[in-house]
Amino acid sequence: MMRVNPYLYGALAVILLVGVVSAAQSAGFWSTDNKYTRTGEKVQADPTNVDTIKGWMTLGDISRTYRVPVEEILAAFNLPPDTPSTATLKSLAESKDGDFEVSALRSWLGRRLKTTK
Amino acid sequence: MGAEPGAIKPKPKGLFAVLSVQHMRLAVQLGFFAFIAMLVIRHGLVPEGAAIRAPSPEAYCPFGGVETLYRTVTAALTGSGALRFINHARLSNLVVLIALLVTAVVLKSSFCGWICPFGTLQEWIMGFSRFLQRKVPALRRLAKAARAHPQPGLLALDRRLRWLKYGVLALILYYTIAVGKMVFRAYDPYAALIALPEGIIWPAFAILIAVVVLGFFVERPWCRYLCPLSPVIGLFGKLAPVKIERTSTFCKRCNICEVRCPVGLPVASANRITAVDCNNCLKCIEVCPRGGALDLRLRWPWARPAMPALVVEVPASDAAR
Repeated sequence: MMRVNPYLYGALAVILLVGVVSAAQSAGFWSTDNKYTRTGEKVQADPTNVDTIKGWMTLGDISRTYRVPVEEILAAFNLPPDTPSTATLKSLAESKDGDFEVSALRSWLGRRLKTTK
Repeated sequence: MGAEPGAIKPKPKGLFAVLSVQHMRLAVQLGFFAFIAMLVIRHGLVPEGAAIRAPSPEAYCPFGGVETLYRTVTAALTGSGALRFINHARLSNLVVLIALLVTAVVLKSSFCGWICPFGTLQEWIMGFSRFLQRKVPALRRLAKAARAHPQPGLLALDRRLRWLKYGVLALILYYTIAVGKMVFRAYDPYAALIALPEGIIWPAFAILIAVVVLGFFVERPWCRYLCPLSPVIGLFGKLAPVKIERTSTFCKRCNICEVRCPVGLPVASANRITAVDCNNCLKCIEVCPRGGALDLRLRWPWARPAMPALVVEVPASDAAR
């Protein structure tokens, strides 16, 4: 049984916590953002799996990944034709234009993928 | 700094007079609080899609790691091996959770008492409450009366309510696994606090207000009654070889440690503080007037304590009553 200095205790608490996090960061096992991979590249949806579509992705991202013209997506959900391709899916769902929902987009793309196979 | 065992501790001199353990703890708490505050401000100011990336402060919450653990582990075992997380959780949550559990296994609840920004906020609320009690005569009288006549009913309620947090953890884990989403976020007062620049999360914001108000009357109410991370830390903390121990030979049962304990633990009647509620703030050790009576000690979990837990030495003055 050994007495532990309280100052050392406090210092160890910080060193252990920060040390483990730093070690993980050094090993590349760290990401604070699901939008980017550990190497810094933007995460893309899986072209074969519509469940990987996220609300933060843009119309342009979806168009490129699933090879669907932006105009076709806008027409399918009654969105204004001048909607920019940089608009995020989340912002479209929150806007009062059209009847867009991210889940509805997943379903629509899922059906489209089956018919184009 | 040191004192003969059982003797009154001398007053600290030199640097130790200025930099007490509580001062050091405050500095550590301030550092982590400022770090999270910086993340909150940055994340609120930097627009989405900007060239500069400003991570959400939620990325550093260890409880996010607890919530996503089931999804991440099952997806890794059954899928392609790629890491998957529930909404609002990231790899960083998992890493901070691992760091916290490593700290808990060595130093018990040091995260709660030294690092957690929400615990720090609650301490400052109680500090402000005590300041008001000193300055406002009516509040001073009320607080004095409450301390002089503690209500047994309220004390019993306090003890019973501490079991709530285990139920909270169980509910959160059940619904998170069943629904596959971060269901607790809508009720998490810490999430409501750090997401304030982006908007108000209901009913989490209402719970935050309730915790702040209650914090004026009860020290660390969220930690005591509802924090779901506390049982997780407590479970791993049972393995920690470093704990606060009382040596009854030198203890004079003045009970100052119990008065000072922010979570109301019966420090003066325990030989070793293993309670989940202990956040290792070390206020009891600092305030104890007797050398060697209350200390942090390193003892391996399989080693037996120096005195059996049921034996309590009664001071001669008490025995004579």
